[in-house]
Amino acid sequence: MTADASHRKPDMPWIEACTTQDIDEEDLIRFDHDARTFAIYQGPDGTFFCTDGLCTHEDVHLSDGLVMGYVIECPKHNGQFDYRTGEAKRSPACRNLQTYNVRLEGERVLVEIP
Amino acid sequence: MGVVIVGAGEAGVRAAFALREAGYQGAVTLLSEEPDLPYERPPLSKSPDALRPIAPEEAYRAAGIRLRLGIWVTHVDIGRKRAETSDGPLAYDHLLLATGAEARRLPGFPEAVHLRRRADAGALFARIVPGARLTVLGAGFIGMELAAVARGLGAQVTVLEVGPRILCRAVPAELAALLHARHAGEGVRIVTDAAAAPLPGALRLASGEVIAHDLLVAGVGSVPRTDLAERIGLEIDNGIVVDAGHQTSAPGIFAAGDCCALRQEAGVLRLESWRIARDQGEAAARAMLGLSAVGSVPYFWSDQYDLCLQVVGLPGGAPLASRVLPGGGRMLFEADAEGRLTRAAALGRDNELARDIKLAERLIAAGIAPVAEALADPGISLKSLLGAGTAVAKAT
Repeated sequence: MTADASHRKPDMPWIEACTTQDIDEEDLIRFDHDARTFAIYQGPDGTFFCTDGLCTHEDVHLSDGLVMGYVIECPKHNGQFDYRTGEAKRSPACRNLQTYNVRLEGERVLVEIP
Repeated sequence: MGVVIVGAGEAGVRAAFALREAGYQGAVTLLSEEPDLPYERPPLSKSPDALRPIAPEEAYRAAGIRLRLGIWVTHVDIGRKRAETSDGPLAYDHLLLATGAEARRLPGFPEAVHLRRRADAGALFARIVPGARLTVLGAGFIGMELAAVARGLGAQVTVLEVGPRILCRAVPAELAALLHARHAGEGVRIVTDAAAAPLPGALRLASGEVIAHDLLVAGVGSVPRTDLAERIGLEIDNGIVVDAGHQTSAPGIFAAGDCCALRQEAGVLRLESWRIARDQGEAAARAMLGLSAVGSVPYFWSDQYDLCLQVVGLPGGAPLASRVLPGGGRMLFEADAEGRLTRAAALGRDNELARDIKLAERLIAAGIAPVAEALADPGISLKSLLGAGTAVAKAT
């Protein structure tokens, strides 16, 4: 979800993750930061999103998965999530994905990582 | 009354949850003869210590699924719709047989152990220690996955296969050759066209060579568990015969997963894999409620070392194209006489091939006939063929 910068808390830093050129539309990339791993998406409408990088079913990175519309499908076992909300959409995924706020500064993609 | 599910593997568990997802309000009773919370079987041959429950215990409670462990069914009174269990009778409206399969036993090899259940895996891996001599009979998925894990644990591994190559049944020869080379590079000795005779603690090959072992494992396929179905008179043909809605020959009784065989125009088709079992469990649950199944394309995977093999679709087509994946992996495509994609098989490192396999699955499901040159060109995204190829399919 995009967030207004005025809502940011001082202890929630915005981290520069990539540029808008780094991700194709309807696709995702992996972003590692501070021993944590995330997935950053560009939706079919050009909006950017961020979730935890690992599937909640098994520790498989979603960056090898397939984005169709607003759904990411895990590369291993076909669990599906709506990456806008993190909602688990198809078994075996049953726990939701954590999502993070994303905002753009020009071409820079910034993620709010607590 | 309600639904009684016999067997709590992937098909049975998936069916139980799918009933609730589809809005079923009646009682759902899930019976497992094993004492453990229902667990995933694929990790058993891939990792010595992973035991992954299919769902946490709370999930059954939350969904109102009555999970009963250590219970088996001895008989079914079809007329009265009553299952006799080891713990008393259970009435049902619909019965689902999800009894799975068991390891095929190899006659004449009394030392051979098998891998199918959690207890098998525990006993087997306790004996795979550094320096242990492991001989595997059968170069199928269980055998080759086990060989890879055992090498990682420091065992000396020999694989004997009666056929001409490894993974004969389900993997295209080109990819099987790449896997064979990797195993050989890791120090696994593979003997194909092997005829072996048992000796105490050893096998003698036709050449006269004697191969001693500390552990002998047979991975020679599975047989569907149909004894209960046979006892109650259901039609059996390499599995409990079911129609497209997973209905058996007896009204009110369904079957799904490794135990069932789908009736086709040209005979029956029994499919074994994690995802197929799940899809069939879901399809059977929906059929009980009069709902149509969500279509699915058969799919399976195998992990060996850092290599992943994924296959989607069914064999029988002709080779159409070969594609080099970005990480150096290979992907092969097959098509029917009209050029429609029927199967894609890929071998690569980790999950580099997952996206293309998922796209191939969609191309197969949509009945698309892609241009071979486009499939072979790594610069052309398979996603782009989903739209473009439709026109080709319509034109044919």
